[in-house]
Amino acid sequence: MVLNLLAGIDISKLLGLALRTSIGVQAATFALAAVGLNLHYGYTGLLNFGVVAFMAAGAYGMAIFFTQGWLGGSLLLGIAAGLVFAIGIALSIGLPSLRLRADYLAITTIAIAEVLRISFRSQRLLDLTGGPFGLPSIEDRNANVSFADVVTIDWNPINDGAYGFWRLRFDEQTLWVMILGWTMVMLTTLLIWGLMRSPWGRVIKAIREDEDAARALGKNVFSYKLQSLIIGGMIVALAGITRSLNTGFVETQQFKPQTTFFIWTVLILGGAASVWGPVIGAITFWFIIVFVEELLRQMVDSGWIPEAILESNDIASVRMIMMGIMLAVLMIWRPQGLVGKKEEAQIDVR
Amino acid sequence: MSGNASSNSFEATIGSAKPDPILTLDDMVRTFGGLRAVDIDHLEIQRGIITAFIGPNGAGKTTLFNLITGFDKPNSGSWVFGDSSLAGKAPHIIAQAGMVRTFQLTKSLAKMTVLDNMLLGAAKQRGELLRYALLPTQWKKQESKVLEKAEGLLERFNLAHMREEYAATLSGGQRKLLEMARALMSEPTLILLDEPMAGVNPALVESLLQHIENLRDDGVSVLFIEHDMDVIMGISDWIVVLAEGRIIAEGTPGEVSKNPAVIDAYLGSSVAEELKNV
Amino acid sequence: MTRRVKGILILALAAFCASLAFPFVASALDNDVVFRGTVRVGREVIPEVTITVVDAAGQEVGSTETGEDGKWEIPIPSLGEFTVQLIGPLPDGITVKDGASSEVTVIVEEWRKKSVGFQLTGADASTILEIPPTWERLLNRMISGLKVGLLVALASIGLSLIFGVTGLVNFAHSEMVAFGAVTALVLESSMGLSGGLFPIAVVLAVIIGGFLGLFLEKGVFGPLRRKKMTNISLMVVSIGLAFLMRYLMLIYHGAEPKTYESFKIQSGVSFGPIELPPKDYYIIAISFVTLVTVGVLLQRTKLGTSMRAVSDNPALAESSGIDVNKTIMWVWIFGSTLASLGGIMIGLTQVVEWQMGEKILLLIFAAVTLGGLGTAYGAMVGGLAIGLASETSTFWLDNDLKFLTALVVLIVILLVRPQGILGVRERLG
Repeated sequence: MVLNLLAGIDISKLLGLALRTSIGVQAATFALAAVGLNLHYGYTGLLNFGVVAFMAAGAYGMAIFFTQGWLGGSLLLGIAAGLVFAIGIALSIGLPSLRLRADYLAITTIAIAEVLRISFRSQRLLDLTGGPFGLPSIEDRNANVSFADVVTIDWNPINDGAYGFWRLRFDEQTLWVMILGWTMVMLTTLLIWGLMRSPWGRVIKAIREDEDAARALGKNVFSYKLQSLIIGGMIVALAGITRSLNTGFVETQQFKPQTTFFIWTVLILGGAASVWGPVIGAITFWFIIVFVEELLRQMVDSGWIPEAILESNDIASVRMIMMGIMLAVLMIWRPQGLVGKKEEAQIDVR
Repeated sequence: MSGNASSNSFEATIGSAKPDPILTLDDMVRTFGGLRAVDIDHLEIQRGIITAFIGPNGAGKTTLFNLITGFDKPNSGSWVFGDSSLAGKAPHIIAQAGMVRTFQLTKSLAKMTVLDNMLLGAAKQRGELLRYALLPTQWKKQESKVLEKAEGLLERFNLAHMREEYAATLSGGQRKLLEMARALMSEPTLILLDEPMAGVNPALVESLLQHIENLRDDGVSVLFIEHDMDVIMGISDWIVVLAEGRIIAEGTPGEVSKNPAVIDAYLGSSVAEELKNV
Repeated sequence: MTRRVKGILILALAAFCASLAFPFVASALDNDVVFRGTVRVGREVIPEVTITVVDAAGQEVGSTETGEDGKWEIPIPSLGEFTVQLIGPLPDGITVKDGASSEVTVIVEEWRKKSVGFQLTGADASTILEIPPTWERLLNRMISGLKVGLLVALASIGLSLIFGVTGLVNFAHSEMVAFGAVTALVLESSMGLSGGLFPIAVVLAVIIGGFLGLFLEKGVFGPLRRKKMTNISLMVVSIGLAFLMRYLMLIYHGAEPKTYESFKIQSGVSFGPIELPPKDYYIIAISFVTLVTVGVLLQRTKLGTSMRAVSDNPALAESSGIDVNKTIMWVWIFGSTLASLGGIMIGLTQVVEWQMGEKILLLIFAAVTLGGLGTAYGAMVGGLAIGLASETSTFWLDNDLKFLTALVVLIVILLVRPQGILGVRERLG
């Protein structure tokens, strides 16, 4: 009976694909972004709905600097430029709006992120950002020239070949970016761990719970929030940079509001306000998404699901639906996620 | 009452000069819409004693607290704490200057442990600066001193056994105690207590009162808001009576309870009844 | 914060917003392929000529009027074959050249802008062309702004009312708007409710929209509120719900934009100096009447009084005998009904597609925050202001600036006066 049910379902492929994605670069970039958001939202209680603004700042800062060839077009300087751009975004968002109520801050940040995205694709900035085509230019992309080459080829110490086993074999370029990505995840996680066990982290947590209490004890709430926004924003920018170094290009399509909510889902799934939450969230999130997508695809292909319910073309949309369901269900039944502390998870920011 | 005798030396008239004022208010006005919630010409708070603000609901007591501590902005007015003017200063600057407040609805941080609440209270911590946060060697020594002080205060406020618990698990009275103890971590020179006895189990009131008196005996000036007349009469050295935003009387408990303006203002109200019974 | 510091901050912010807005005066908005052109005879440009683009199947994908400079732009959703039609009206004496066509077919194979031209001729263009006086053109822009404003107002009221009685910022509200438009289209095409029967489809869709509101309150947000979830958590839940609804619409309604069969392209009808397609008169009339009715209902009925009471102070309302939960339920029904109607009207003026909600979300937020979250009148005033501002801004600025104008208004209002024009100042974080 069981075997019968599983007819047409290739379990090895299912698990292989899901595992492969959950340890891949995509998962690493999501983990990295979630580490940054965790500082914003999990620890400081800032309802940042403009996560993509920081990712875009990092990615575009790096890409523009590199493609324009400023200061010799060094990629390292480009990455630094992306981080500086992220600081600028943090200041632009933070200085005027950190005094707002949580829900107003949420709307403001989502609007600022959209303004930034629309500006990047504007015709006026075509020479700088490539407008709707992104960076590098179409010509360069057709010729397979990208800033990513510096990382994947020039800096790559791994010999050509395929590494790994079973369905988890990666070529030297993918493997190298994976190593870089997960190393950054580990380093930033360590950074957050160190910060949050310091007296600085204690003030941050106090602000999350009650700003006025922190003020009454002589803490400069505004300054702490801004520090959190900047540090978290730079980590999110690193995620944007890593993603473009993996895909080899930047495009405004990559920075739509839905990406923000993917990161939110990852964070809440793993557990906001916990050190390992973002990492566990990213790995689990991608495992579930790819597993379900692939399962549905196989079920549609083998006729388990009639076309009237789902066609194989629609499966890409299922990812968004799953994200929506996960976000809602987690908020309702498990706001602390997989590894968060229940006591710290309920949000009651004003 | 040890304090009462000494405070008899100054005059029981509105805005009277005190020999050693810790806080002086001038022309403080705060309006909400057309309503003058606070309207004070001049007030001096004497150093080293317990001063109480009393008055019916809507008299402007909490608003006045909010103004003094920077949580609200007056339409006009100036106030001087020690030697420095605090007008226009942000709440955290005022707290750093040595004037720390508590809130009517306690703001014990429920999602932090009792001990963390206490550690947060300490002032001038190096580890709270971002540039030192990742370098424990820079702040470990200070942290252990802060810890020692916190444990001492927890002991004194009978909260030592709860130190590792989340503050959410404390009773209402224990939260009041925690908030007071936390405020003391920064070694304030003036502590402002907003209804410290409100919602506290009557069995605990006596010990709370004792703590407030101890504060004064340790040299901390205390300013507090209270509704409960018995409490005020018992421990205050000086009372300021507010009604509709204005000071209608100030003096020792004895003087205030006999003051015709106070009795007039409260005539028929339960406060007046209680005042007469004193 | 001192007044001085605040002033500096606001200045800095204004400079920031201005610097962000500046590069977009002539930017393409949010589509990958854009058709554009200038309608002119010799050197004379012709404003207010309707241009429409249809796809290979004959479905309209977009329609616009040329601006004061004779320029037009229509974004295209996908690659493929499209036909650009010059609908008119052309001024007297100006015609399409003999042998030329008022239709141009374009095959789009790559993502870029396409210039499309029509060959026109006229005896003496400069004498024949009578460009209407400035006030008349401005008037037409304002009428157009009024229309957009009324639609945004209609779509926004529910969001504002629901925030008023529950404190929830419902990100799924714009999906309720899209749901109304899609439902009406499905009813129209599958039940044959087109042409003269279309109003039946509208009424049914609005009723179904009301049931969606009822379901969201009784099945989702009501129980969660009783679970003591905070409004911020519920806001995040509503975001999840929005994605669920949006992509279900994509799967079951399809990716391509559609238009209502009953209202294909219509030529303009003049009314004094104002010239609009007939459907616009209906849209303006229906929206206006609905808004006035809503205003009267809120003032005069018991439900309206309860709504306002619950908005002001739920605890007080409860103790004075108002059934708070019932009131909230009716606000949801009422709000989603209006959202559906707004969605249908928006679908009538533009296209019906699964992304409608996403596209209008921030516009609705802008309207509601501008007017003041929580008040129905605020949403009306805010909607009208956003509509008028964005439409008349095209009198001076490029068409593409519309959406950005609304976003900048939203950001500035949140920073400077988050309670909105009509909102009551409250304690702000």
